[in-house]
Amino acid sequence: MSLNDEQFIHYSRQILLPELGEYGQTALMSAHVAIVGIGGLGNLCAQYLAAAGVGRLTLIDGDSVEVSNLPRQLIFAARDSGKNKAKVCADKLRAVYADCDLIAADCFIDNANASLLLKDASLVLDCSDNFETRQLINLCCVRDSIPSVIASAVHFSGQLLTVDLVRYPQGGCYHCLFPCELKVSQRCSTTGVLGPMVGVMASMQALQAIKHIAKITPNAGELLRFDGLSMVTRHATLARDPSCAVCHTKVKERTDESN
Amino acid sequence: MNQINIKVNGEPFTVSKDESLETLLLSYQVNLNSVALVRGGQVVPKTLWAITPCEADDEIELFGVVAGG
Ligand SMILES: [Zn+2]
Repeated sequence: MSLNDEQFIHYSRQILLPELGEYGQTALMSAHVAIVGIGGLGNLCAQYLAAAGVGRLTLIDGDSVEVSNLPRQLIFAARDSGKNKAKVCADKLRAVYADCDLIAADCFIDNANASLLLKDASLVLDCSDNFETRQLINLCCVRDSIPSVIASAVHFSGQLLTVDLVRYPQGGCYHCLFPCELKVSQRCSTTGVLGPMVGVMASMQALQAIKHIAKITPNAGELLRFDGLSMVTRHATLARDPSCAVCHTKVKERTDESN
Repeated sequence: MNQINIKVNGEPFTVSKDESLETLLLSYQVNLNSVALVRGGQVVPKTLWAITPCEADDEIELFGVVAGG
């Protein structure tokens, strides 16, 4: 794939970045990103990635727009209430970003449909809103060898990490960090969250996604925690759990292949 | 007594030498199924807590999973 003159002008501010350049822009245009959850994080990531020229976006969400979503899910309006989030978001972005092929899946991801929904995706963004779904997305991405950029936000706390067992096997997977027996205490629906708090995390998630696609120092293998009250960001190096139930065999397979 | 000083989420804490991370969490009264653990900027997976000893001046961070979005 190469850029035509119009695209070159359209994306010139991105292409100007020496880290991205024409190579990165072309990589974005060839990428297929699946976004799971078109809520606070997902609607913003979808807008950023469509605008950046990502070639194909699959938006996955079975949920409908509610008025209580509007303070942080900026793509939706009150008149969208009751309509499916993935469909509304895809329709609105399709009207604005001609270079982006938008696919809407108006269902929740589950064990039975996950492989089909994520099929052909070169990157998955976990923008979901509950721990069980996050474990399922991780399981499918590890099994199907799809890298994932995972973000979350509740109250004034945000977390961001990238899982890529091909590029960063030593960082492990989501389950290595947060095994499935972990108890979750806070949810957006019961704890509350501010729009810009979700926006900070979504912006960082979209930025990580673009860098990952363009192969710019992607900080995979690192966990970032952001505290929106103190504005403090903390980094930690991820470590693979050698006995992780999810990625143990996958990493072993890879080691065997390369030997 | 072989006591060592460490920090847990920025607060000073004293543990016996060779105490494991798991024992530390229990004496810190933290449910083992409620946190992830970072030690000196490095995540320590949960399955290694019982066999990883605390060391003097360790800086331990404990935090829960944020799952919303
Ligand atoms: Zn793992």
